[in-house]
Amino acid sequence: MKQWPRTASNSAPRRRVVASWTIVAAVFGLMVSVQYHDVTLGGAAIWSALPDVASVSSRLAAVDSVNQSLMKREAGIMRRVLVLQADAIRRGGATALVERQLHAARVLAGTVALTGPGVVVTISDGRMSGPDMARFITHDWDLRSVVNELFVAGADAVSINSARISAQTGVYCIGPVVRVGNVRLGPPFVIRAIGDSSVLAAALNLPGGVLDALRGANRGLDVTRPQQKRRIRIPAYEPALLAQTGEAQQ
Amino acid sequence: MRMVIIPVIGLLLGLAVGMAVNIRLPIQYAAYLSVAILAALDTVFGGIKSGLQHEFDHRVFLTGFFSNTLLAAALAFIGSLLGIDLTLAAVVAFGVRIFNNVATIRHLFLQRRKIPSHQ
Repeated sequence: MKQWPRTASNSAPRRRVVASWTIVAAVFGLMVSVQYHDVTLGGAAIWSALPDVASVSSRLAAVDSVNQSLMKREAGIMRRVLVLQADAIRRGGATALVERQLHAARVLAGTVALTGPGVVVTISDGRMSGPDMARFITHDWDLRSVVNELFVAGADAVSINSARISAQTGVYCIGPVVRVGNVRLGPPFVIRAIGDSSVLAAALNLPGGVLDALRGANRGLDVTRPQQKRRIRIPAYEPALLAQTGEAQQ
Repeated sequence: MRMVIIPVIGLLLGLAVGMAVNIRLPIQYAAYLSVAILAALDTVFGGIKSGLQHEFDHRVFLTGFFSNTLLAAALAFIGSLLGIDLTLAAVVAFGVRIFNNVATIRHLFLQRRKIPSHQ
């Protein structure tokens, strides 16, 4: 017991021997306690005893990271394409017309994010104070009426919260939430529209118009005045992967 | 006596830090740490053995500790990339070595000759 960390020759000082043992012991203790802590908390370390699970999950993580980097690259390439197309439109000529039509089609399809002047309206549920609670909830038709009014007034793009309204976007009530396209949303609903902001605001502020209809009828909905803004960003439409045409094969 | 106490204090310090700091292991790295711990345990027993045999060299010990742990983790990582469970290789190799080392240590404590090992 007394002799064991003694050196073979006296060339190495005892200090170094003690130091090396201390470093190794500290690092070893750290590793062991991290692992022990993780196992007792039911963390990932318990899977190390099940190499199949661990290796599958590590492969999943690897595939995920590859997908992430591919998506990042795709977004970067798309951004470059858009810059080049904007450049082509600016230069004029034969391609400018085609590019402008393509850009308009993209905006209508909602496949590109858009930034520009517009209006913002927020609709929140009212407080339930009686048995007729259905009246105090924001319904799909409430949102639809506002969205329709905005498109009629010439909006280029409309979104509800994070969901871009495209030609294929339906707005439905599904139980406790409103489904806008493939996204489920809850109140408050922030409706953004890009277009001529004064026209859009005037359309919404029409006396007896859609917003007045929502505010009235004793429903207690909280509808803000449409705010005109210089710069509004509306995200691109995100289709649900596989949900539309794909079918799982058994 | 100080030569034993200071490393023990270091060990306790490492244990305390590991328990105090709330590190959650990502599931894909959990297997690597367990293999690295096995390699580290092997190096520690090897160090005790060589100390008892008066052959301890702190340079060999330090480099062996870090290179063995990193190598074991790297081997497991490469194995997971290739779909080969190389953690098993590390578990078997280091397991055998740990048992040999512990047996040798026991014999040295009992003041006997070293038993012939498999190496």
